[in-house]
Amino acid sequence: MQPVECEFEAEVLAAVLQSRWPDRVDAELREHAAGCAICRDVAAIAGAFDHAREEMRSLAALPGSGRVWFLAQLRARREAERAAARPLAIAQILAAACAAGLLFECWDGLRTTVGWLVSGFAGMDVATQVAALGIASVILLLPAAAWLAIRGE
Amino acid sequence: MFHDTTFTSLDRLDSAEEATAKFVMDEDTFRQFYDRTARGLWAYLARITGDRQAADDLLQEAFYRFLRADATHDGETHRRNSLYRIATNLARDARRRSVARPEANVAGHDIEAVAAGSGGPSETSADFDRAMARLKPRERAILWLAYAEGASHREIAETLGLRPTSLKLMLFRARRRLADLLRGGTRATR
Repeated sequence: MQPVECEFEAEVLAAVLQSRWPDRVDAELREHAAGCAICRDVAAIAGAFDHAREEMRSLAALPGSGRVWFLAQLRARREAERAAARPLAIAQILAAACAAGLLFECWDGLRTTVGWLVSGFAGMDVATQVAALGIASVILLLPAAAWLAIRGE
Repeated sequence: MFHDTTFTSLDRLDSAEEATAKFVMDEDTFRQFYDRTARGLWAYLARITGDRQAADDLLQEAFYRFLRADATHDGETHRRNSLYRIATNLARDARRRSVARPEANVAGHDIEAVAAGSGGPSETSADFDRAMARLKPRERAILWLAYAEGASHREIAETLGLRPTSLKLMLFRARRRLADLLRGGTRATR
Protein backbone atom coordinates (compact mmCIF):
# COMPACT_ATOMS: atom_id res chain seq x y z
CA MET A 1 0.00 0.00 0.00
CA GLN A 2 1.31 3.44 -0.93
CA PRO A 3 2.24 5.57 2.13
CA VAL A 4 0.25 8.77 2.59
CA GLU A 5 2.52 10.34 5.22
CA CYS A 6 6.26 10.82 5.61
CA GLU A 7 8.10 11.44 8.84
CA PHE A 8 10.17 14.18 7.18
CA GLU A 9 7.36 16.24 5.67
CA ALA A 10 7.16 18.54 8.70
CA GLU A 11 10.86 19.27 8.34
CA VAL A 12 10.49 20.03 4.65
CA LEU A 13 7.50 22.25 5.37
CA ALA A 14 9.39 24.18 8.05
CA ALA A 15 12.37 24.64 5.73
CA VAL A 16 10.14 26.03 2.96
CA LEU A 17 8.29 28.40 5.32
CA GLN A 18 11.60 29.64 6.76
CA SER A 19 12.97 30.16 3.23
CA ARG A 20 15.74 27.63 3.86
CA TRP A 21 14.58 25.27 1.11
CA PRO A 22 16.44 23.87 -0.82
CA ASP A 23 19.86 25.47 -0.39
CA ARG A 24 20.10 25.85 3.38
CA VAL A 25 18.94 22.44 4.57
CA ASP A 26 20.89 19.27 5.38
CA ALA A 27 22.02 17.42 2.30
CA GLU A 28 20.45 14.33 3.84
CA LEU A 29 17.00 15.93 3.86
CA ARG A 30 17.47 17.15 0.28
CA GLU A 31 18.42 13.65 -0.84
CA HIS A 32 15.45 12.17 0.96
CA ALA A 33 13.06 14.65 -0.66
CA ALA A 34 14.46 13.91 -4.10
CA GLY A 35 13.32 10.33 -3.72
CA CYS A 36 10.14 10.91 -1.68
CA ALA A 37 7.00 11.88 -3.58
CA ILE A 38 5.29 13.19 -0.45
CA CYS A 39 8.12 15.54 0.51
CA ARG A 40 8.45 16.68 -3.10
CA ASP A 41 4.75 17.59 -3.13
CA VAL A 42 5.04 19.42 0.18
CA ALA A 43 7.99 21.41 -1.12
CA ALA A 44 6.08 22.22 -4.30
CA ILE A 45 2.98 23.63 -2.63
CA ALA A 46 4.06 25.01 0.76
CA GLY A 47 5.73 28.16 -0.56
CA ALA A 48 2.72 28.96 -2.75
CA PHE A 49 0.37 28.67 0.24
CA ASP A 50 2.58 30.90 2.34
CA HIS A 51 2.57 33.55 -0.37
CA ALA A 52 -1.19 33.19 -1.02
CA ARG A 53 -2.00 33.48 2.69
CA GLU A 54 -0.15 36.77 3.01
CA GLU A 55 -1.74 38.07 -0.19
CA MET A 56 -5.27 37.12 0.84
CA ARG A 57 -4.90 38.52 4.34
CA SER A 58 -3.73 41.84 2.95
CA LEU A 59 -6.79 41.99 0.67
CA ALA A 60 -9.37 41.48 3.41
CA ALA A 61 -11.47 44.62 3.96
CA LEU A 62 -13.07 43.71 7.26
CA PRO A 63 -15.69 45.56 9.28
CA GLY A 64 -14.50 46.58 12.73
CA SER A 65 -15.13 44.27 15.66
CA GLY A 66 -17.36 46.91 17.32
CA ARG A 67 -19.59 47.11 14.28
CA VAL A 68 -19.90 43.34 14.03
CA TRP A 69 -20.82 43.17 17.72
CA PHE A 70 -23.40 45.96 17.35
CA LEU A 71 -25.04 44.32 14.33
CA ALA A 72 -25.12 40.98 16.13
CA GLN A 73 -26.87 42.66 19.08
CA LEU A 74 -29.48 44.22 16.79
CA ARG A 75 -30.13 40.95 15.02
CA ALA A 76 -30.38 39.00 18.26
CA ARG A 77 -32.88 41.51 19.57
CA ARG A 78 -35.02 41.34 16.42
CA GLU A 79 -35.00 37.55 16.55
CA ALA A 80 -35.98 37.57 20.23
CA GLU A 81 -38.85 39.94 19.49
CA ARG A 82 -40.08 37.75 16.66
CA ALA A 83 -39.90 34.68 18.88
CA ALA A 84 -41.84 36.46 21.62
CA ALA A 85 -44.55 37.62 19.19
CA ARG A 86 -45.08 34.16 17.72
CA PRO A 87 -47.37 32.78 20.50
CA LEU A 88 -49.56 35.91 20.17
CA ALA A 89 -50.02 35.35 16.43
CA ILE A 90 -50.86 31.68 17.05
CA ALA A 91 -53.47 32.66 19.69
CA GLN A 92 -55.07 35.10 17.24
CA ILE A 93 -55.30 32.46 14.54
CA LEU A 94 -56.85 29.99 17.00
CA ALA A 95 -59.40 32.58 18.15
CA ALA A 96 -60.41 33.35 14.56
CA ALA A 97 -60.78 29.63 13.81
CA CYS A 98 -62.96 29.14 16.94
CA ALA A 99 -65.17 32.07 15.94
CA ALA A 100 -65.60 30.68 12.43
CA GLY A 101 -66.46 27.23 13.85
CA LEU A 102 -68.99 28.69 16.26
CA LEU A 103 -70.63 30.68 13.47
CA PHE A 104 -70.88 27.55 11.32
CA GLU A 105 -72.41 25.49 14.15
CA CYS A 106 -74.96 28.12 15.15
CA TRP A 107 -75.90 29.18 11.63
CA ASP A 108 -79.51 27.80 11.67
CA GLY A 109 -80.29 29.31 15.06
CA LEU A 110 -78.76 32.59 14.00
CA ARG A 111 -80.94 32.74 10.87
CA THR A 112 -84.09 32.13 12.94
CA THR A 113 -83.14 34.83 15.43
CA VAL A 114 -82.33 37.34 12.68
CA GLY A 115 -85.67 36.55 10.96
CA TRP A 116 -87.52 37.04 14.25
CA LEU A 117 -85.74 40.39 14.84
CA VAL A 118 -86.48 41.63 11.31
CA SER A 119 -90.17 40.71 11.51
CA GLY A 120 -90.39 42.29 14.99
CA PHE A 121 -88.66 45.42 13.71
CA ALA A 122 -91.08 45.66 10.75
CA GLY A 123 -94.04 45.52 13.14
CA MET A 124 -92.83 48.53 15.22
CA ASP A 125 -93.94 52.14 14.76
CA VAL A 126 -91.35 54.63 13.40
CA ALA A 127 -90.38 56.14 16.78
CA THR A 128 -89.68 52.70 18.27
CA GLN A 129 -87.69 51.71 15.16
CA VAL A 130 -85.44 54.79 15.56
CA ALA A 131 -84.92 54.01 19.25
CA ALA A 132 -84.12 50.35 18.46
CA LEU A 133 -81.61 51.39 15.77
CA GLY A 134 -79.94 53.75 18.25
CA ILE A 135 -79.59 51.03 20.89
CA ALA A 136 -78.25 48.57 18.29
CA SER A 137 -75.69 51.13 17.09
CA VAL A 138 -74.43 51.72 20.63
CA ILE A 139 -74.18 47.97 21.28
CA LEU A 140 -72.19 47.45 18.06
CA LEU A 141 -69.99 50.54 18.22
CA LEU A 142 -69.05 50.40 21.90
CA PRO A 143 -66.64 47.43 21.59
CA ALA A 144 -65.08 48.97 18.46
CA ALA A 145 -64.54 52.27 20.28
CA ALA A 146 -63.04 50.45 23.27
CA TRP A 147 -60.70 48.51 20.98
CA LEU A 148 -59.55 51.69 19.24
CA ALA A 149 -58.93 53.40 22.58
CA ILE A 150 -56.84 50.48 23.88
CA ARG A 151 -54.92 50.24 20.62
CA GLY A 152 -54.06 53.95 20.77
CA GLU A 153 -52.40 53.67 24.20
CA MET B 1 -42.93 25.35 20.00
CA PHE B 2 -43.49 28.19 22.42
CA HIS B 3 -39.94 27.95 23.77
CA ASP B 4 -39.56 29.82 27.03
CA THR B 5 -41.08 33.07 25.83
CA THR B 6 -44.30 34.49 27.20
CA PHE B 7 -46.69 37.21 26.13
CA THR B 8 -44.85 39.65 28.36
CA SER B 9 -41.47 38.93 26.80
CA LEU B 10 -41.89 41.88 24.45
CA ASP B 11 -42.05 44.23 27.40
CA ARG B 12 -38.89 42.80 28.91
CA LEU B 13 -36.76 43.26 25.80
CA ASP B 14 -35.87 46.82 26.67
CA SER B 15 -32.15 46.62 26.20
CA ALA B 16 -29.88 45.04 23.66
CA GLU B 17 -27.92 43.56 26.54
CA GLU B 18 -30.84 41.31 27.39
CA ALA B 19 -31.06 40.08 23.81
CA THR B 20 -27.35 39.26 23.79
CA ALA B 21 -27.38 37.59 27.19
CA LYS B 22 -27.17 34.24 25.46
CA PHE B 23 -24.05 35.11 23.45
CA VAL B 24 -21.16 32.76 24.16
CA MET B 25 -18.88 35.63 25.19
CA ASP B 26 -18.96 39.24 26.31
CA GLU B 27 -18.11 42.19 24.09
CA ASP B 28 -14.47 42.63 25.08
CA THR B 29 -13.67 38.95 24.69
CA PHE B 30 -15.48 38.87 21.35
CA ARG B 31 -13.64 41.89 20.00
CA GLN B 32 -10.27 40.42 20.90
CA PHE B 33 -11.24 37.06 19.40
CA TYR B 34 -12.52 38.75 16.24
CA ASP B 35 -9.33 40.77 15.82
CA ARG B 36 -7.27 37.58 16.10
CA THR B 37 -9.33 35.41 13.77
CA ALA B 38 -11.32 37.50 11.27
CA ARG B 39 -8.55 38.11 8.73
CA GLY B 40 -7.57 34.45 8.55
CA LEU B 41 -11.20 33.35 8.39
CA TRP B 42 -11.94 35.77 5.54
CA ALA B 43 -8.96 34.45 3.59
CA TYR B 44 -10.18 30.88 4.17
CA LEU B 45 -13.73 31.70 3.06
CA ALA B 46 -12.52 33.62 0.02
CA ARG B 47 -10.37 30.65 -0.96
CA ILE B 48 -12.96 27.92 -0.52
CA THR B 49 -15.81 29.87 -2.12
CA GLY B 50 -13.64 31.59 -4.73
CA ASP B 51 -15.75 34.71 -4.19
CA ARG B 52 -14.82 37.81 -2.17
CA GLN B 53 -18.39 39.09 -1.82
CA ALA B 54 -19.54 35.71 -0.56
CA ALA B 55 -16.62 35.71 1.89
CA ASP B 56 -17.70 39.12 3.26
CA ASP B 57 -21.27 37.90 3.84
CA LEU B 58 -20.31 34.51 5.22
CA LEU B 59 -17.79 36.03 7.61
CA GLN B 60 -20.42 38.12 9.41
CA GLU B 61 -22.91 35.26 9.41
CA ALA B 62 -20.28 32.89 10.81
CA PHE B 63 -19.44 35.22 13.69
CA TYR B 64 -23.12 35.77 14.47
CA ARG B 65 -23.88 32.05 14.55
CA PHE B 66 -20.77 31.46 16.60
CA LEU B 67 -21.99 34.01 19.17
CA ARG B 68 -25.46 32.44 19.30
CA ALA B 69 -24.25 28.83 19.39
CA ASP B 70 -25.18 27.00 22.56
CA ALA B 71 -21.64 25.79 23.15
CA THR B 72 -18.84 25.87 25.67
CA HIS B 73 -15.24 26.03 24.52
CA ASP B 74 -12.22 24.52 26.20
CA GLY B 75 -9.84 27.16 24.95
CA GLU B 76 -8.76 29.37 22.09
CA THR B 77 -8.09 26.48 19.69
CA HIS B 78 -11.44 24.84 20.34
CA ARG B 79 -13.17 28.18 19.94
CA ARG B 80 -11.38 28.83 16.68
CA ASN B 81 -12.17 25.35 15.36
CA SER B 82 -15.86 25.89 16.15
CA LEU B 83 -15.83 29.15 14.24
CA TYR B 84 -14.16 27.56 11.23
CA ARG B 85 -16.60 24.66 11.33
CA ILE B 86 -19.57 27.04 11.27
CA ALA B 87 -17.96 28.97 8.41
CA THR B 88 -17.29 25.77 6.48
CA ASN B 89 -20.92 24.66 6.81
CA LEU B 90 -22.16 28.07 5.72
CA ALA B 91 -19.90 28.01 2.67
CA ARG B 92 -21.14 24.53 1.79
CA ASP B 93 -24.77 25.63 2.10
CA ALA B 94 -24.09 28.70 -0.04
CA ARG B 95 -22.51 26.48 -2.68
CA ARG B 96 -25.54 24.17 -2.68
CA ARG B 97 -27.86 27.14 -3.05
CA SER B 98 -25.80 28.46 -5.94
CA VAL B 99 -26.01 25.07 -7.64
CA ALA B 100 -29.79 25.17 -7.21
CA ARG B 101 -29.89 28.79 -8.44
CA PRO B 102 -27.04 29.24 -10.93
CA GLU B 103 -27.87 32.93 -11.41
CA ALA B 104 -26.79 33.54 -7.80
CA ASN B 105 -23.17 32.82 -8.84
CA VAL B 106 -21.98 32.43 -5.28
CA ALA B 107 -19.26 30.05 -6.32
CA GLY B 108 -17.96 32.17 -9.17
CA HIS B 109 -14.20 32.21 -9.01
CA ASP B 110 -13.02 35.79 -8.78
CA ILE B 111 -9.84 35.10 -6.88
CA GLU B 112 -7.75 35.71 -9.99
CA ALA B 113 -9.55 39.03 -10.30
CA VAL B 114 -8.72 39.66 -6.65
CA ALA B 115 -5.05 39.27 -7.36
CA ALA B 116 -5.31 41.39 -10.50
CA GLY B 117 -6.99 44.16 -8.53
CA SER B 118 -4.20 44.22 -6.00
CA GLY B 119 -1.59 45.54 -8.38
CA GLY B 120 -1.13 42.50 -10.60
CA PRO B 121 -0.46 38.93 -9.65
CA SER B 122 2.90 37.38 -10.05
CA GLU B 123 3.01 34.50 -12.49
CA THR B 124 3.43 32.07 -9.59
CA SER B 125 0.44 33.54 -7.79
CA ALA B 126 -1.76 33.34 -10.89
CA ASP B 127 -0.69 29.73 -11.46
CA PHE B 128 -1.55 28.94 -7.86
CA ASP B 129 -4.97 30.61 -8.18
CA ARG B 130 -5.77 28.67 -11.33
CA ALA B 131 -4.61 25.39 -9.81
CA MET B 132 -6.65 25.95 -6.64
CA ALA B 133 -9.72 26.79 -8.71
CA ARG B 134 -9.48 23.37 -10.34
CA LEU B 135 -9.63 21.52 -7.04
CA LYS B 136 -12.84 20.45 -5.34
CA PRO B 137 -14.04 22.80 -2.58
CA ARG B 138 -13.26 20.22 0.09
CA GLU B 139 -9.75 19.73 -1.28
CA ARG B 140 -9.21 23.48 -1.21
CA ALA B 141 -10.43 23.61 2.39
CA ILE B 142 -8.20 20.75 3.52
CA LEU B 143 -5.09 22.16 1.89
CA TRP B 144 -5.73 25.72 3.05
CA LEU B 145 -6.25 24.65 6.64
CA ALA B 146 -3.17 22.44 6.58
CA TYR B 147 -0.70 24.70 4.80
CA ALA B 148 -2.01 28.26 5.19
CA GLU B 149 -3.48 27.96 8.68
CA GLY B 150 -1.07 25.33 9.97
CA ALA B 151 -3.91 23.27 11.46
CA SER B 152 -3.24 19.74 12.72
CA HIS B 153 -4.95 16.70 11.19
CA ARG B 154 -7.26 16.49 14.19
CA GLU B 155 -8.23 20.15 13.88
CA ILE B 156 -8.91 19.86 10.16
CA ALA B 157 -10.99 16.74 10.68
CA GLU B 158 -12.98 18.49 13.41
CA THR B 159 -13.52 21.59 11.29
CA LEU B 160 -14.63 19.71 8.20
CA GLY B 161 -16.54 16.97 9.99
CA LEU B 162 -14.27 14.18 8.74
CA ARG B 163 -12.65 11.18 10.40
CA PRO B 164 -8.94 11.78 11.05
CA THR B 165 -8.07 8.48 9.37
CA SER B 166 -9.92 9.48 6.18
CA LEU B 167 -8.37 12.91 6.29
CA LYS B 168 -4.80 11.65 5.87
CA LEU B 169 -5.67 10.00 2.57
CA MET B 170 -7.70 12.97 1.39
CA LEU B 171 -4.90 15.36 2.26
CA PHE B 172 -2.41 13.17 0.42
CA ARG B 173 -4.55 13.08 -2.72
CA ALA B 174 -5.36 16.79 -2.68
CA ARG B 175 -1.70 17.68 -2.17
CA ARG B 176 -0.64 15.37 -4.98
CA ARG B 177 -3.24 16.86 -7.31
CA LEU B 178 -2.27 20.45 -6.55
CA ALA B 179 1.44 19.72 -6.83
CA ASP B 180 0.84 18.12 -10.24
CA LEU B 181 -1.20 21.10 -11.36
CA LEU B 182 1.52 23.50 -10.23
CA ARG B 183 4.14 21.47 -12.06
CA GLY B 184 1.91 21.49 -15.13
CA GLY B 185 1.55 17.71 -14.92
CA THR B 186 -1.03 15.63 -16.70
CA ARG B 187 -1.98 13.33 -13.81
CA ALA B 188 -3.98 16.08 -12.09
CA THR B 189 -6.02 16.89 -15.17
CA ARG B 190 -7.54 13.44 -15.35
